[in-house]
Amino acid sequence: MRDECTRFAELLSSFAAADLDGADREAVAAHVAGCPDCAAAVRRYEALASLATAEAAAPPPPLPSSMAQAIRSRLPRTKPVEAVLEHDVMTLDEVAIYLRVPLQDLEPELPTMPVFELGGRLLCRRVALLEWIEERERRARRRLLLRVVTTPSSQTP
Amino acid sequence: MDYGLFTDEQLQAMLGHGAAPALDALLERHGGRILRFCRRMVGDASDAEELTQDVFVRVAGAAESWEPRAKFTTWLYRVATNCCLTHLERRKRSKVVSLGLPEATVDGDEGFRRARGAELAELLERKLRLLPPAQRTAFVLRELEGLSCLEAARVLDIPEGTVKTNVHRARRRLQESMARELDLAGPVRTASRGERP
Repeated sequence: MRDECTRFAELLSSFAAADLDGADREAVAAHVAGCPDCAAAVRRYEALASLATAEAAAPPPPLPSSMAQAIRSRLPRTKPVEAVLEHDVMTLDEVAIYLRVPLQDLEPELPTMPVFELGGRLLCRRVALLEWIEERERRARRRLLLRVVTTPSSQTP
Repeated sequence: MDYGLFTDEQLQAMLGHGAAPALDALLERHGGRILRFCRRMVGDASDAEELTQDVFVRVAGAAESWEPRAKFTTWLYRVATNCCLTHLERRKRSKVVSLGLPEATVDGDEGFRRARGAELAELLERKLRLLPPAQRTAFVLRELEGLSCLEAARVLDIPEGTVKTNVHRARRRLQESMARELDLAGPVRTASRGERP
């Protein structure tokens, strides 16, 4: 029996965590059913998993109120982001921040956006971006007008 | 501007331009989790606070050149892991580990008294410190921080199989070293064998 326990010892943790598949799981289950020591080990693994799950679900501790200030005091002084967003040329990250959308939302728009490539990065002139926004506004207005004209509620009875 | 509206990646980009509120937003979103992670890794509350500061100073320092090749949180955990492992290595070399930490062995009645609720969790934290760093890191990321094995592998930049092996070895050592306390821990999830949480 001891040899068998040694053979199964490596699998007990995976068994308790339901990480074993068909044949292995059945073999371990059969052994555990007849071996009180290994059954106790499985219960301990389950208790450990239960403890870990409870710990993982616990809310994280609050940060000391002084932490943000302590970190900031260790950083070099730089210009505020608002000033950077006033630059004539923006990176795509800055464009996304400027438009308040996730970066990935810009990707489908790239074919029509006024971007240019420099040093392997896509850049956008602020003026060109504003023109692009105005063009989209015009198109949106046209679509809206068209919808108003063609909807049944706008027709006379 | 409501910085809470931005994604982690956008906040990181803004941090690169020196936006202090972006740092506040990232700290509010992830600071507590990183503090807890550091505490679990190094086992000392004061060291964990300093390490959390180090992590966010590094994050802010790298923000300007940062490019989102992975999820921000994956990168954040990687920075935190590196900070903690460097700290542990330094502590090991200076041999001060046993001076500032509580005794890790639990014997006699004390062991039974501690085998309850929060004290069991505290015992787990102390037993974690006795694990080799690779096993401890894998166990903390996978079991206590709730990352998948794949995510943990990306954080640690190692194969997923290595993460699984280290988690398995950590579980085994913890199960053996906490045997008596786990026996006393009371009812456990009977459904745990059927499904993975």
